[in-house]
Amino acid sequence: MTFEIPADWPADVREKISTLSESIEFNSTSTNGQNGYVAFGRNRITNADVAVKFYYWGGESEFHLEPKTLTSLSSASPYILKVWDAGYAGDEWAYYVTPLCKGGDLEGLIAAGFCGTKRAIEICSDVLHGLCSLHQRRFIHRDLKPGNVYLDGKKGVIGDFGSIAALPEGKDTIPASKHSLLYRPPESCASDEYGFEGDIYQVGILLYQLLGGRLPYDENEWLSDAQKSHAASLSCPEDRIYIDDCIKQIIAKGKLLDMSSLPPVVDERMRRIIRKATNKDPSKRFKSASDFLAKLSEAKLKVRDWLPQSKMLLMRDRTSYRVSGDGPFTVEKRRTGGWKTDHSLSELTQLNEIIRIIEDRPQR
Amino acid sequence: MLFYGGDIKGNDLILVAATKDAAGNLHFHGDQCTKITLLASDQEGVKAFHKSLEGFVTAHGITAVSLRARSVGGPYKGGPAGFKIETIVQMLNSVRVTIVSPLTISAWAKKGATLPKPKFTYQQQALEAACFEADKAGG
Repeated sequence: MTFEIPADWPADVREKISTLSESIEFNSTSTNGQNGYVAFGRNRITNADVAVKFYYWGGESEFHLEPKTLTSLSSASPYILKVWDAGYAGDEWAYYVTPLCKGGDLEGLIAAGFCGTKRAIEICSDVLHGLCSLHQRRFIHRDLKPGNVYLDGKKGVIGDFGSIAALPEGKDTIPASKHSLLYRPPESCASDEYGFEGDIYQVGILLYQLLGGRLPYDENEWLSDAQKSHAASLSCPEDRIYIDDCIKQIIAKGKLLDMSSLPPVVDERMRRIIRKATNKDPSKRFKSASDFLAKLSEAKLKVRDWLPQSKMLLMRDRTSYRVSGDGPFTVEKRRTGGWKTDHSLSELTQLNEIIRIIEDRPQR
Repeated sequence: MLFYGGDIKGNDLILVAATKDAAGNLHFHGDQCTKITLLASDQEGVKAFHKSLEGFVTAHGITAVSLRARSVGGPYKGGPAGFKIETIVQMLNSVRVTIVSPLTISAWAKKGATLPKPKFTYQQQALEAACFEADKAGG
């Protein structure tokens, strides 16, 4: 199979790939990256699968993270993707080389829907752990979203450093990253400011999505009928600007998340955590990543672990429960031995009522 | 430089930061402190405690903690949860933990050190441990 560098990639990037080809056998590219170019390959000596990301930094040189600093992050935390190599490609592009995570990113996990309460908490805790390391060094990620968190085995690791920036001493905010509009915090839509609280907001959205919350990527779903027809009457690129402005207004009002879209198994404690992390007012969010992490660790001990399992919901505990059907529901329980139908709940038609009764039952 | 003192009370680990300025005055840093609770003594509880503690230590760049020693006997001896907490703190990879006897801290405090006031009463003994360390290190 011969690999060809896409013709529409910038000349500097193409030239650097040619140079890197001496040590890396490139085999494919990704079209998913919105803020750069990604090529995949295998190291010719170690046989390790690698990803090479090229990112533009020419416009933000004041806050740009030098490749040298980026490489040093490798040892900062086990929850930050290792950077094996980094450098410049011309005057406006930089690149870094990371291992290829076979588990992929969180997009796939989120597309499958609710991934389990404790699993969602664990992944977000990993991300927050990585954030603690970044924030302690006064780095902010600015682009935390499912596509930028990878699964290394069961562990979540922060990746994609294309938007990462250093927050200078004495400054609380810097300009926001222009990428991934849906994940931009309200303050960045209103005044183009981004600080540590912005990263906390983005992890809050990540938690919401992992717990099954709805966040449509199709921009039309955010527009009212009147806005859709107005957008249709505009020519490119004015339509694009108009749609972005409409979405920014929703974000700025703090109305992006629809808490009612969360499945009934997500209890009030978890909903409160999401609301606090994604509060419109940055000062009302968790004070730090470590505070958020502590709250999640505490919640993990108290929430019931509901898991999706082939068209049913399973809750494992001393007495386990499983709920199947679309209404009427079948509720089964098991303490020892096999599953037995729980007739006391067979009359109920509302799933959230069934869940509430099961959760209220003492387990220990 | 911030110096951290720790005290274990029941199921709680209290971590408090102090500094010593050039004039020799000791200061309390209320915004750099925490109280982490071991909510359950089972496997999950211990792991959750460890993760919270590791997060705080990482976020604040803590490299050393002076932990007030717990009694192993007598009417004020520590409970089993406290032993777990003490072990978890000592097992942190990136942190040098020094166990300091309460008697040593009292003896130092009696020599005339002016201790700052903590925000909460429960932080008092952790603050003494932090100030002891700051004073010993010379600021």
